[in-house]
Amino acid sequence: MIQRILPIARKEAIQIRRDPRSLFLAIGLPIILIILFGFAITYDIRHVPIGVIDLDRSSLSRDLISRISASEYFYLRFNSREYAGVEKTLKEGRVTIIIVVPRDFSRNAARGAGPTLQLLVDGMNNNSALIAMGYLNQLVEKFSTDMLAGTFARLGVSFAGGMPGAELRTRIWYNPELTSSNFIVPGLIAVIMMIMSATLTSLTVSREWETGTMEQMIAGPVRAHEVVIGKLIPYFGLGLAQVVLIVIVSRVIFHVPFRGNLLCLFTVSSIFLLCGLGIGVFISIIARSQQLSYTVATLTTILPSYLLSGFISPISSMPRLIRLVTYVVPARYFLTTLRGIYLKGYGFGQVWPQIISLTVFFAVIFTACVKAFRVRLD
Amino acid sequence: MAAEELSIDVHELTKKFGSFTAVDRVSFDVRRGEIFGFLGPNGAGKSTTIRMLCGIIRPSSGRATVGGFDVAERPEDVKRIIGYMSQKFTLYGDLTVGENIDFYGGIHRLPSVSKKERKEWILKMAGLEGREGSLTRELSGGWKQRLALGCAILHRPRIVFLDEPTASVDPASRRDFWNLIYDLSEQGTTAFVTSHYLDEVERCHRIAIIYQGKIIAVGTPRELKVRLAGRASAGLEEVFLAAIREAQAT
Repeated sequence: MIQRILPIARKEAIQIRRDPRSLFLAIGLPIILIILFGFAITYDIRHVPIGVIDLDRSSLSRDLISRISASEYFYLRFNSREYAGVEKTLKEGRVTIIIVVPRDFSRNAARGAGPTLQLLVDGMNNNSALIAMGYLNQLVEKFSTDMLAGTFARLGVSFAGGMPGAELRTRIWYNPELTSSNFIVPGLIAVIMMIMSATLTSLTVSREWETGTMEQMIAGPVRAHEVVIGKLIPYFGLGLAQVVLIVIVSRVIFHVPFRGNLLCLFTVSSIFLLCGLGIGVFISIIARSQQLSYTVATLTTILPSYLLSGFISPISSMPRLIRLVTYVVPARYFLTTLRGIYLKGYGFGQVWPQIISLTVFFAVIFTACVKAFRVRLD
Repeated sequence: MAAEELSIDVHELTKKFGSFTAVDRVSFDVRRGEIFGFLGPNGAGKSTTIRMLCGIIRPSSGRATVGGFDVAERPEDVKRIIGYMSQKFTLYGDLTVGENIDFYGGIHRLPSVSKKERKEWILKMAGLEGREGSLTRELSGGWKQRLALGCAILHRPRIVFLDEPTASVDPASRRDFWNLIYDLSEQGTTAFVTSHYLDEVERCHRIAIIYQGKIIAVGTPRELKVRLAGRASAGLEEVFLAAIREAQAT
């Protein structure tokens, strides 16, 4: 059987080599996409535009405001004395947060009555609003602790070892600076590899049905598995080249630390590639027209790999039914594995369950291809 | 006639596509080494018949054996001993002449010694010596068609099926092409040729005329002329029209 797989694979490889478009699609496009999206998608919130309405105008309020504007997380758009005309800046999106310092802020502080601040937040983008509020909370907390310490000091009480009370001492592991590209880029690799591999092969079988070359091929004594394997081999090679380039880009351009086992990375990538290529071949066999199979391949890979893999939001916070659906999305397994290998230094010892899941997926899709491929026209 | 002398044996072969009957209970046989012409207008069921005999579409009913193998039950065995040249040009345009030959040699698992020898033979036959490295899509009609024939008979099939082989080639190439078919026939290869060119099927040993999915006449060109048009000097066009008239009368 190997004797017929090789000529098919060789023929397919020659065709890929002669077609600059598919070569670009396979090698150039993924790199461009990784770079583009790697820079575009970020959860790092910096320079959030804020406005201040300082009705108090005291040294205390000025101290607070200067602390906020000195922080790299915020960018002070305005510092107003009154409400009038300020509300619309939130609506227009010129600022995300408005801090209102009430008239009695410093007086209440002096009286020990617990001064309050009012926050007006643009909740349209819930995520960045939450993160910005978090930063602000920290700032204000620090501010009040310092204020308290000052009050105690004036009363002649000093706390040499710091303020009494519970305090969180956080140490972040694996991604200490919480750089979002470290998290995003490995995820992007999974999404982009899935899309590219499925679309690459989605045309191979349908094109041959359209040109009639498939009719000629099946008039010879070929078997379904020979055609399927023969078609997978050259694209698999192409896909591996793609993986190498992507790994280099993630290191050189995005400085994503690589802590895990390189062999393990390539093993998982290989199986994942086969899943994607298999999906493409399957669609191509079923659709029989290039246009249809390309459309189906992009639709069935882009959205699930993007939305159901844990790339955008964690799978654990999805509703149960959707969580069940994610089990048939190969990118889900690959994404977890990639992030683990990159950031947590995973090796085979940790990722074997994902390897098994992906292998099972490939076995199913390969069987489906062989079953679906007819060595007949009807 | 002994069964082993029959290359193709067809009984009541039928193919339906939904409610449309493309091939309607056709029966005929083709002897070893014979050049058998399948004549009929476009849409008469010629390509459907040829595809059933090649094992690439499944008959709806009836039986057909090719080289002794049942086409419905043992299509893989059929495919090993036949050569097929479809109506459309179906070699890979983005492969060179040599690469196309290598590909089909590989599909038929030719040993590398005979692969090399057959490749040289095909290049010579098709007049493509020295053009092995040319992209196939850049060849002109006659060359493409001879190369397609070459790839179809590369593995020395016992039976070749040629669907409208000369539809898009000039008269000189057509003559060369027929000389090749005669050579093959003399070496014992059976040829099943469809055509809607009347003058072309006149070169066949025997002809079947197919019309609206049914065979309406079978015989040697001479027999058909005498029987249907009343004289051996009749043109095949006359024969064809007479056959249709006769079929419509019954």
